Amino acid sequence: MITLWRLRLLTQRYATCFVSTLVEMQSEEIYAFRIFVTGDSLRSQRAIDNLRGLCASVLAEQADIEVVDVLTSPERAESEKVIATPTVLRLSPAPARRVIGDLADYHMAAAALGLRSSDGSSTDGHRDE
Amino acid sequence: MAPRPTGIAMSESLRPVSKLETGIAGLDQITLGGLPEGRTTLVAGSTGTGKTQLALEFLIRGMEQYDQAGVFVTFEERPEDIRRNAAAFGMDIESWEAAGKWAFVDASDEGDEPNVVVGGYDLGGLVSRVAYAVRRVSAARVCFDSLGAVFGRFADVGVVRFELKRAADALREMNVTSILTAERTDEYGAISRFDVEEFVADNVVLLRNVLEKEKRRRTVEVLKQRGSPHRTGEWVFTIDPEQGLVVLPLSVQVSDQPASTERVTTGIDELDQMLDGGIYRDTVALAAGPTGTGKTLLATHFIAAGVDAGERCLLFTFEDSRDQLFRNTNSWDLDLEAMEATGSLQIICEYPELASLEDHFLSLKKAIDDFKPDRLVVDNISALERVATARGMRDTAIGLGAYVKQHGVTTLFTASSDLVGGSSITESHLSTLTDVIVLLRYVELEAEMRRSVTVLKMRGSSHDRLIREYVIDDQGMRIGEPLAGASGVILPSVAAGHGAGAPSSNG
Repeated sequence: MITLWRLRLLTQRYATCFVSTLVEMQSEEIYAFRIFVTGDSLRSQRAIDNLRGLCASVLAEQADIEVVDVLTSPERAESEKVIATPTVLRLSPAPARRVIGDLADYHMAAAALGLRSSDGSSTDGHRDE
Repeated sequence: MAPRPTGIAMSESLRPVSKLETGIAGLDQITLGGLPEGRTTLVAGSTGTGKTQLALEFLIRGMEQYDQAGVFVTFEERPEDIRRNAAAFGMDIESWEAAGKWAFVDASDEGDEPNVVVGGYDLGGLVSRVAYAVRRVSAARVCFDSLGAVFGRFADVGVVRFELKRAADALREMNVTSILTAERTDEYGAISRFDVEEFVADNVVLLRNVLEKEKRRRTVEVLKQRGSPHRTGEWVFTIDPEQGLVVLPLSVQVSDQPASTERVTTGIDELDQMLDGGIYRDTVALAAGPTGTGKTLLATHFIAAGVDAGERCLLFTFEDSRDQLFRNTNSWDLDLEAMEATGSLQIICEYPELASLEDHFLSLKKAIDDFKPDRLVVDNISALERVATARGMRDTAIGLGAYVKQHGVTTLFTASSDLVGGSSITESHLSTLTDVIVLLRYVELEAEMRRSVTVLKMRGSSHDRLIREYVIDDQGMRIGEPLAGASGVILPSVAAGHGAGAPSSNG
């Protein structure tokens, strides 16, 4: 009796572990970015477009991109200690990354943001975690 | 008023610029009213010159004295550190933050990785955060500390320069007065390392920390203030634990009160007679002589006379400890201890080596402010030479002289001179500043050492021109008849044809 009960407990435990592992794996694949820009300038637009294009070409799934305008939301720039614009934060997957600039260079931007293409290979052979 | 930095620079611009009083002691005097309102002033200096202190105090004084809110933009120190620094001066920044009158824009480095830069950028985040903070607390003052830290973080110098100009313009639009601190590599070289002068060149203040004859001197110089006059030259400043940053001399204007015609006693009847009835109430007098001639005794007579007349007296001594002073003066039947017990005398004993010249000046000034004496003795001011440079000594003597004059304190300085006469550094600096000079000298006469006293100068009055002998006994100093046959006491005699120079008697 006791053995059986114990076995059930163990199975439950393993199941929980397995599920949480799945969730982790899945969340690793969901990319979330926050991009801080100043107003509707050309540079702002270029940065947003570059980030979207990069994600679309590299990631299998749609990335979650939030645009924050420091002119209308200065308090958010304050809380994130943003000085330069555009600033791109990679919120997930961990570790967080912070890149400054309009991401004009595709390969450098992908490397800096730690983006790997959908087939799993790194975009340009740069170091990736 | 110091003779050196009297020049007033007028600029070419005819449009007057209104000024914002900083509230920093002495700084408003040398800027002739403060920093240009609504403009940015560059405060440049090498490491350890007190730039951050000046920036911080600019905001703190604004808060404390003018109820003007401030924003501190920090690129270097973290806000916690700045709060702690201010707390050391008794300033509670946190309470001002809570009251919505102070804001930090924390642009300090997180300390992790360097910035990863891909493509073009600007400092829009910074500019909007500063504008937001200024609006939020309705700031009148902003400081940026420091430029070097910004340039260290962003490689594109052109961008940083352009963006700082944008920030300065935005502040100008909001009529906010700001300070921007910047590092220098040389004390007497380029204004700053970053060529930012082009947009804040209108207003530049330089801070220096110069090693001169093994003594550190902190100085502040207003290099330019476009559109408004200011004083020129370097001014000594100190950072006082209580008062914060203080620029010396505090008082550059000479009292406009009419000169006093009331005579007061020196405490020695015969000396009063030599001075045609005593010294004027607003006199700054100097008693100079070599060691052992009785300068402290003369000073004690001076104090005792004040106490007798019901005046408040302050005795500042760099010579003796309290016990030594009491023992010495008791032997002349002058009981300083009893006088102090009545409350009309305050004695302050200081060791010259324990503080810098500037700090001694400040504590003297503070004692005058607190005790409000009618009479002041500083015995012996030459002792300060041990902690001062010649130039510092002159500045201090002039500053102190101006201060006591302004407050109408009857003042006696004592100063040492060489055993055989001649003038010391202190003496020569003080001689033009003082109204009365009494010289005490040793005289060798008929194989005997005797002492002589003479009044070398007295402004606005006739005086005895004879060299008189005096003796010191248990009644103190007693002045007698003119010394017959003595010459070469003050000036080298014609017969001797040699000797040391003497202080000039023309004031």
